[in-house]
Amino acid sequence: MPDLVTHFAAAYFVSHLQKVRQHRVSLYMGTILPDLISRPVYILFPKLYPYTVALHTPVFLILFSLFYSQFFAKSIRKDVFLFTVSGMALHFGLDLFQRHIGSGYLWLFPLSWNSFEIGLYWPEQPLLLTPLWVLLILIIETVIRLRRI
Amino acid sequence: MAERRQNWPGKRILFVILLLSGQAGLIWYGRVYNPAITLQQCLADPERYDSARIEVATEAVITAISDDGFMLRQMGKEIKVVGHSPDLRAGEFVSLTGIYHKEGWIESDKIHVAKKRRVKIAASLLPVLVVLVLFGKKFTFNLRRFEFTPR
Repeated sequence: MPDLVTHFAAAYFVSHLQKVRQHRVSLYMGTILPDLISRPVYILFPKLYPYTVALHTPVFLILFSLFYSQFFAKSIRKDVFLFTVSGMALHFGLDLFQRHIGSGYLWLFPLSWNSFEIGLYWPEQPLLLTPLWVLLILIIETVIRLRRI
Repeated sequence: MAERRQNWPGKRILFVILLLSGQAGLIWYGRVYNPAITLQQCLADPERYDSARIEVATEAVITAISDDGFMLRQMGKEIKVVGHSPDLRAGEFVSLTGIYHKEGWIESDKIHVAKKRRVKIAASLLPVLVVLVLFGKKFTFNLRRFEFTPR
């Protein structure tokens, strides 16, 4: 995975689209959830790693989004689900371009244990661009706030 | 209480239970049927996994460098790795593929040192905080209805 700043920045730029703006929080949540529910478990408790294999897979995260959206008011439940899943899709879109030394992400789990990745960068390399993304977000947010005054 | 009951009809509760069961099933399937051979399996039964091709990637750290390779620690256990990468440095996270030998060493053919992984983990905390703050500003939890509603 790229770092979550990179994932968040991608969602932030997409969230300026007219149709997404109103649901940006769900999009942001969706883009961090794949790592948020899987990484802390095995970083803090490495022996639990075998139990986390499913957590970073599309099928698990669709089920998780459905579960998560049940805890929202009925009027917004469908939108919360759709934009959370969209955020997750964006997350996986960036992950697809990574490379790993061995097997990568299990896109078709549980139907297949095979993985596929485009392999443009190592997981740590996007970190080099993180300061740029933070700066860009700060500039855009400042401009938006200045325009409102 | 009546409001919560109305908002959480049996169908919705059943759906949540089904979703939780589905997720638990996937976690179990991933745990039981993963075909990848881990270093921990090899160390627990060296004879069985002698000459097996393995992948070590989960929280593995270089503890010392030697002429022909390095020492690797994963989940509290250390093992010798024979192989080279220009980025090897004690304390760095590493992932590798190679052949496990029952005598207690790995003959590695591919090594990747995950430089700055700790910085990456620390940096990743920032967007989590930002999203949680934005979430708190956008939604409020209605305890009676047991659901988030827009502010």
